Parts: sequence; structure tokens; C-alpha cells
Amino acid sequence: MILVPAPAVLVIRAETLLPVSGPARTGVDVMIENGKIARIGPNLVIPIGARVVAAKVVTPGFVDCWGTVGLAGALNVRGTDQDALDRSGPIQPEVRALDAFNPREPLVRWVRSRGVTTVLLGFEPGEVVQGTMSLVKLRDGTADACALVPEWGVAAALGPYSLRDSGAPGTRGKQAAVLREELIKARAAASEGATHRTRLLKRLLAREIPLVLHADRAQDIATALRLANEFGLRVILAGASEATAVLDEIRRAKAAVFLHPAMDPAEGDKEEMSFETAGRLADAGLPFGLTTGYVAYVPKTRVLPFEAAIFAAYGLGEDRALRAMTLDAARLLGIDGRVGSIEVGKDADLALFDGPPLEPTTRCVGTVIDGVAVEDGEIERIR
Amino acid sequence: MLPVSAPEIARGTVVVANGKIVAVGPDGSVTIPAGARRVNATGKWIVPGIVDTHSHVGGPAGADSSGPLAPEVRVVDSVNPRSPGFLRAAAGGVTTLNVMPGSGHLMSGQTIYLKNRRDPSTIADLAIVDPKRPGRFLGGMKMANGTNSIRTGGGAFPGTRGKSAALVRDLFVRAKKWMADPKREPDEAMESLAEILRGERIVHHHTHRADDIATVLRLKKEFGFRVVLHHASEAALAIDAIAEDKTPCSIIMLDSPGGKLEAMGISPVNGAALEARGVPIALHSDDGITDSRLLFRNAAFMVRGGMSRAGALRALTLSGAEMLDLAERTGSLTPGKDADFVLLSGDPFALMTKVEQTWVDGRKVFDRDDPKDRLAATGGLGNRPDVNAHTCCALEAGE
Repeated sequence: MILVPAPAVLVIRAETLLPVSGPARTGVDVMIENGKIARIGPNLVIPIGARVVAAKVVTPGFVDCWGTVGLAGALNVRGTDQDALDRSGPIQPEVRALDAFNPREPLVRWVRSRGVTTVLLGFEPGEVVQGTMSLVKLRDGTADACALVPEWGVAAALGPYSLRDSGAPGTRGKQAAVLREELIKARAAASEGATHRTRLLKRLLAREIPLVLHADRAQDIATALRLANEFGLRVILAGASEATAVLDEIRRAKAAVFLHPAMDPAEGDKEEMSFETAGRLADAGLPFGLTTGYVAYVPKTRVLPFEAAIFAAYGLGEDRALRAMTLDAARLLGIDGRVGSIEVGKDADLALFDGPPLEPTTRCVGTVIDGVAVEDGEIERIR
Repeated sequence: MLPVSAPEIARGTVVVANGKIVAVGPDGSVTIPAGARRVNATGKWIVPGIVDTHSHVGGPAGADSSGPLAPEVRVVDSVNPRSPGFLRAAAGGVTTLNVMPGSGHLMSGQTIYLKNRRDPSTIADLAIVDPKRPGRFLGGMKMANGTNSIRTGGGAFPGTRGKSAALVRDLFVRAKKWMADPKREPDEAMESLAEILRGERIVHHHTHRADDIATVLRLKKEFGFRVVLHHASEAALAIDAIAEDKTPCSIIMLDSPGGKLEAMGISPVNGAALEARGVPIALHSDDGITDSRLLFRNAAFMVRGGMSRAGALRALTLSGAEMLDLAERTGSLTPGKDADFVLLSGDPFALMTKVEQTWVDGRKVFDRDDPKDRLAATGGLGNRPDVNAHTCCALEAGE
């Protein structure tokens, strides 16, 4: 924790500024007031009492389109810090990520100190419908202080992750059937819906919130698009390891993709995943964000810029990778009016580096969220 | 050219003959034999092949649920040399691997040192013959302490750290007694323990927490065996004990700590902390825990954590070779050594650099220009990666 009184004005002095909304600029100051970017320019007049922080490279803070940091903690002990999935049933849209989020989980600061500022909190994809995703900023304070959109979208999963021997669907056909039944029931229910579950599914049917459907295999992606089409849902494909096999179908459905982490192990349904998928989606002009997802073992949390770097090296390129985890992600999440680029009037969410941000030897040297310098460099240890 | 055993060469030539490096030096200073086949590597970087000191490629399956100590079990009897994981490792620049059983036992079996040669028929095509023992191959002994080797269900397995150390101590005491007995009966388990106690077989010891590291060092003092600490997550916290006699450490780079209680203390500065105290450091993949294709990237992360570039490259190559007693034959671009090297598109620690070619014993085993090899390097539709690396530990745990 940084024990400095927050000054009224914070100035970030950037050797190189990467605003994302425009070309790179060299030798500019970013003046921050009341949590917002107030001015950007060379040699700004700095008010007395302002705190000045210099950095070689400054980018917008990174935006993770599906993470479980703060829900699945480092100890990895059920009952203590593992709240990324409830296994009491296959259909649980009413479980809300925000209600399980622990902002004091040490891994939150681990990723925050590496430049991550906004996360769409989700679940372990272990049930057909795991819950409602919550969009948060990694501010200091309680979960409520972090919340941007408590009910952002409904998380679902097709394929092996949510198949069980008993108590839940055991086959892909049953998965789709169960999901279909729930949507039909919700559609037929009285206009307000007696349960939170029904109300959420009605919001889904009304296209107020999207269905974020995890599917890796091409066949499961097709099922996801089929279900979305049957009910007129807004659908986002999460994972989508075999997206390149069904690019046309994804394009026709106008579905966005929350792409799997590059360093997900290539096993099971992810056998045919590729480091080149992000580049191929970008080349095809398909909208996508990047994710860290859920890890059962080690590393307990993935780090978004590290995943983006691999995609960058394999066809996506550094500029497009930076855009994917800032402005493009903000756009997909509906918050690009306030987050995702360094522009006057937007929230002051910034990441500071001592070199090109995606080079493996570069270090993050500071993180700013809503104008508060919450980190001053990569945390090296949580114990 | 980064020979590792010698300073960087700006424009260099390597001459290879009969699988060995014959000459290394700046262009023009090296005699090229008449009729030599020339490989133009202009603009590329050449480094020694990676020695991965800790890998589960090929699905090694050692000890089972019958007991925690299995010195007689040999991983050579279980590795599939045709596993696609070997090509994927070659795509990452790996030329030598220490393939090991898992960490679910106090002693899970004899490991095997393999050269990553292409298209083997049997494991013998990859293994390194032991010059002292006919029909045997070079390898170490895998040991572990901490939580993985503890099973709380009772039975033969230890339920606590104290019991774990006691079982190991007792085993070595019995081995010493067997060695001293002139009327001893042939005993595979005892013979392999004798190899350890005579310093002929290196113990590769999985250990995470500072106190578990201390336990390994304590047993090492008691019995005098040669040991490499593997992972050593809390190395920076046990640095004085490790640095006392410079016990070699083979470490892993993970993107975040935790996921298991004893790895809570892992830190990206471990490499730098060990380097500062002159402790030998190797970097391993523990494939499939981390991806063999990302070893150069993981070494770059050690530099990010404060280690020197030269130290990080040595950790991938010569230091690993030393920890396998193979430094006379691989690990650096040195005349007389095996022609094990990697052609990179650029600086080994830069974001965009790719492994272009990997050579083992003077033969090319990976070429990014070959579509099949490229598929192994990048993944994609039609790729069939190694499914076995992950089953090793599950099988050994009795799942």
C-alpha cells in the first residue's frame, strides 16, 4: 500500500505516450484531476503541489474480458478462497461474481501492478450456466467501490468443462437441451418473473445483457451460435480455440469473441488452439477481446499483458495487441466512453513501463486507476 | 553467435562434422573444409541448444501407489519417444531433456537424459549410453518433499513432512548398510541408492518451501549425495543455506505465485537472487506445467526479474548441462562438443524472436520453414500436441 497523501493533481510525464485512440506521441505530460485526464501536451504548466511521475512508456490500463482473479485465490483451498464456481446445479445465472469478489486477494495486486486496471469477473466454466459476470475496476476498497456493472452478462459453457457423470448434463445434446428449456421457460413466465433467475434470463432474452458462452471446439461454437439465433440473444464466444475453423459463421452471427489465453495448455478441446488465432481474427476484422480465464492449478492467475504478448509475437503485432486489451475491449464491454484510451475527459486509468510494454524484459513501473497511483511497480512476492 | 562458454561473436561461423562442433569463431578466422555444406544464417542468432533439466514430455510414469520410495523404478521403461511433445520441445529450441517421473513420491524413480533427435524408433535412439554400465543409460534420481509426496490416507505413504524425511533417512541408512555388507545380495533398489551415495547418480529434488529446501540440504549433509534443487520456489528466502556450498538450483518461471500452498512464495526475482550469491542456476519447463516452446521467453522473464542476460542464457544451456553431468558434451558452442544449437530470428530475449532451426548432434530436428514443424511451433487446426505430459503425475497418483 502506498502511504502518500493523494495530491489534487497528478502528472504523468511520458517519454512515449501510447494513447491507442491516436498515434504514439513523444515527450508529453498527462495531467490528471479529479480522477479524469484533464490535459495532454508537451511541457504543461505543473501546478504547485502536483505529484509528477515520469515513465518511459505510458499506455491505457489493461482491460481483461474474462478473469477470475479475486474469486479464485492463490491459496487454492476450497472453502477459503475458491469462489469461482458453485457446483450445486447446472443452471445458476443468479450467482453473481461481484458477491464473491475479494479485492484483497493478493493476486489482485499481482495483476494490477502489471498494468491490469479493469476486469470482467467471471467463473470457472464448470456448469452449463455458472452465473452473472460483473465488470469491475481494481480500485482500493470494497467490491462495491470496484463495481462498474454488477450484472454485465450471463456466463455459460458448452463442451467437456460442464459435463458431469450425474446431477448435471452428461452429453452435449443434453447441455443444449437444458439451456434451451430454461430460456423457453423464462420466455413464457410472467412479465416480471418471480425469481432473480427468471429476471436475468428475461434480460438475456430482451438483449439487455449478453450471453457469454464458453466453447472451444468448432462444433460447440456452432451450438452456441445456434442457440443464440433461436432466441435472438446477443452472444459472445469465450475461449473459441477453434474460431478459425468457423470464421464465416462467427461473422454472420455478428458474435464477438473473448479469446482464450495464449498460454492455455493445448489439451483436450483446446488441442488445436493456436498462438496465431488473435492475429487471424484481427486480419478478418472480427471483434475480439483478450482474457485470462480460470486456472485450476498453476499459475493461479494469468496476467493479461503476458498473454497478449504471445499473440503479438505470432501475427497480432504489438499495436493490435495493445488495442485489443484496451480500447477494443472497452468497446466490447460498453465502457469505451470512459475507459480504454488516453484522451482528455476519460478516466485516468494508466499503466507505466520502463520500455516497450509487451517486451518480456520490460517492467511495469506504475499503475493509475481513476487518477490514484495504486501501484509503483511489479509486486515480486505475495508471501 | 552466443557460445556461452566464450564471449559474443558478431559475425561467426560454426563448423560441424560427424555430429560434433569442430570449430567456432569470427567469420574468416575459421577454416571451412572443402565440400562443406553451407547453411546461410546471415542476420540470425546462433545459441547453444537448450538443456531442459525438468520435463515430462513423452508421458514418463514412474512409481505407483504401492509406496513412496521406488529407487528401482526406471522412467526409461515408460517414456514414449514418438510423442509429439518432443517436436514441440524442438520447436522451443530444446536439444537435451531430463525426462522425469512426477513429484508424488519421496523417490519416484530413475530419470533419463535424452537428446532430442528426430524420428526415433525406440527410446534407445534418444538416450545416452552410460559408458560405465553396459545396457544402461544416463539419468538421475527424482525425489520430492513437501505436499505432493504426502498422502493423508494412511498406508505406506507419509502423512507429514517429518515422516517424509524419516523415511528417506531410513532408506539411505539401509543402503549404506547394504553397501558395507560383503555378503550382500543383488538388489536393484539398493544398487541405485549406492550409485547416489557414491556420487555417480545425481538426485533431482523437487522442493518449494524454504523449510523443505532446508530439509533437503540437511539430508545432503548427512549422506553426502549430489543434489540439484528443483523449483526451489522460496530460494530467495533460503538463500544463505543454498549459497553455503552453492547447491545448484533448477528453477521454473511462473506468471503468478500460488495455486498450491507451498508455491505461494515463488518470485520472479529468484534467478537474480541466486545469481547474486554465485549459486548455479538452470531454468526448466516442467512441461506440461509450462510450455517447452516458451523457454526463451521464460528466460527473458528472469532478466526482467533482475538476472543478467548472460546468466539467463547460461541457465538455459551450460548450467543445465552441468547439472546433468553432460557439460563435456553439450551446453555451449565449443569445439569437441555435440553440435546442439539453435538458429533464432533475433535476440533470444526479444518479443518477436522465433526459433527458426534446432539442431541436435549435427542434424536438423526442427525447421520453421517446414509446415509440419511450424504447426508444432504455433499450434492450430490439425495439430496433435502431446497429451501424455499431463498424465504422468495422474497415473503415478493412482488416478
